[in-house]
Amino acid sequence: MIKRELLQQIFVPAFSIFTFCIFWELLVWANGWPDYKMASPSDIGPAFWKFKTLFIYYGWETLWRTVVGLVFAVIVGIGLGIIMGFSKILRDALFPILVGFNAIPKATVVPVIALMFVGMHDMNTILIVIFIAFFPITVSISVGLSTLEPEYEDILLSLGASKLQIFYKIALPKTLPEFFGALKVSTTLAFIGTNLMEIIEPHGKGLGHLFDSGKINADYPLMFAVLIALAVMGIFLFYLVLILERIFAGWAERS
Amino acid sequence: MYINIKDISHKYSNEDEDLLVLKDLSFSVEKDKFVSIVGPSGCGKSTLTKLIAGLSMPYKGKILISGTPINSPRKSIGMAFQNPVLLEWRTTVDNICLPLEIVSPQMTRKQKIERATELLEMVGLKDFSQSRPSQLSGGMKQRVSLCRSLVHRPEILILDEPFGALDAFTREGLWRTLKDLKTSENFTCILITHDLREAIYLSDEVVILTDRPGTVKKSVKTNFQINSNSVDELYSKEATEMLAFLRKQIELSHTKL
Repeated sequence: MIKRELLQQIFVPAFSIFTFCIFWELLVWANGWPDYKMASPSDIGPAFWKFKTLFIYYGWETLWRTVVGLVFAVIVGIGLGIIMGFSKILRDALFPILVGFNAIPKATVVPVIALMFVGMHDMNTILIVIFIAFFPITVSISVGLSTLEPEYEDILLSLGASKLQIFYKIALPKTLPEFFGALKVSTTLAFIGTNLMEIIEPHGKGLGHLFDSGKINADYPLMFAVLIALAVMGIFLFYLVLILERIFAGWAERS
Repeated sequence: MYINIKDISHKYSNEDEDLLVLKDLSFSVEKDKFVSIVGPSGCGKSTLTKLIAGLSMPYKGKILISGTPINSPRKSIGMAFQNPVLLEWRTTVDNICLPLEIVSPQMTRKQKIERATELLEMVGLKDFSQSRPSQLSGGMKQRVSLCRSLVHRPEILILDEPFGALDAFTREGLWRTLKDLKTSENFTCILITHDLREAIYLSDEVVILTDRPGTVKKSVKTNFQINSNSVDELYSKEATEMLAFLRKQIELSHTKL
């Protein structure tokens, strides 16, 4: 039975992707769209092959910056979340600032950052990723901590437990499902962050640069190939988070 | 007297007014006795449990345990609530071990599990030691919560309406379990409840509180013992008369509801 379930888990998504590609190919073919209007899946494969070394090289650059930025976003997000979860005063003080900050379109922040740290491409990119990805994590952690039922604390407080013990024995594990929910959102946001920097302030690195050169050379299949590569990397990171969630917060799942 | 509650008053303050919940309340409990506290809703019963547990300090008066005033939480207290608040990421047996991790960090994991299993056996949940709380029924969760409150061998057990959310038959089962635990584990028990039959069945003494601000209206010794494990005795003439008597003592102000 387990084997059948596993097959189903692989087969169903694979089939849906295949169907999607067929539909896409047919749509382009039926409308007679030329390459510069809409590339079709059959064009994208050759584009990948033609630039395969660049895809691996630039893809890796985009990926590591995204992951490093995401790790920092998690640290910043959890830190702010803990502060805001435990202190109502700090929550009231920080929330308007954070909401305001989050409301600014990050595309407009990119040039500012690029000017502030001229030439420090890695740091610029990672900074933007942090800015764009920390907010959902902060909100989830702070809400999780501030809505902890008082009985949970009473159980341990009545035994003379310290605040720290309550935090790591109860509060932290209890917010894990919310945290992973937010991390999934942040993971996809993080890729937006990296590419904003790479495309708006091109510094010759990452998949954003490859996309840009595709645009300059009117190589539409290449541009589409970059989009697909980004999607694949996004799916890869997303499932990585999903696996971590299974390991650390699997108890929250109901069968 | 083992637990001595002397003239305590307590109030909650918010911005513009103080709400007095307990007023000059005194009573005492002998060691290893079982006392139930009943009273209309909102009369400060839960506040009283927090004061006895040392989670907050009374605004006036003091609480003595074996002659020493309490001014902070003590390791010799166990608590259980209406909400079983089990940790969903832990198995049943690990949930029960939780207080030991705080109170007796010197115990090995094996010793902790042995102690927890001993209690699980007593409440009839030995086969569920590896289950998650989400796989247990309401009554089972409450049994686990009871085990957790007793695992560190507390001298005083404080129960705040632990069976309030259970159906009548499950509740009777839990009463019997609690009686068994009381016999084998030896502790002084303070039970907050709304159920007079529960109070009579379980306790040596019933303390009735007035409406808010709560104070002791009457303290009644249950002068007969329900010694068999049978809940049927609750329907005897003696018990029924006692129930009727207790019921009369409780004043409900209908205007506030």
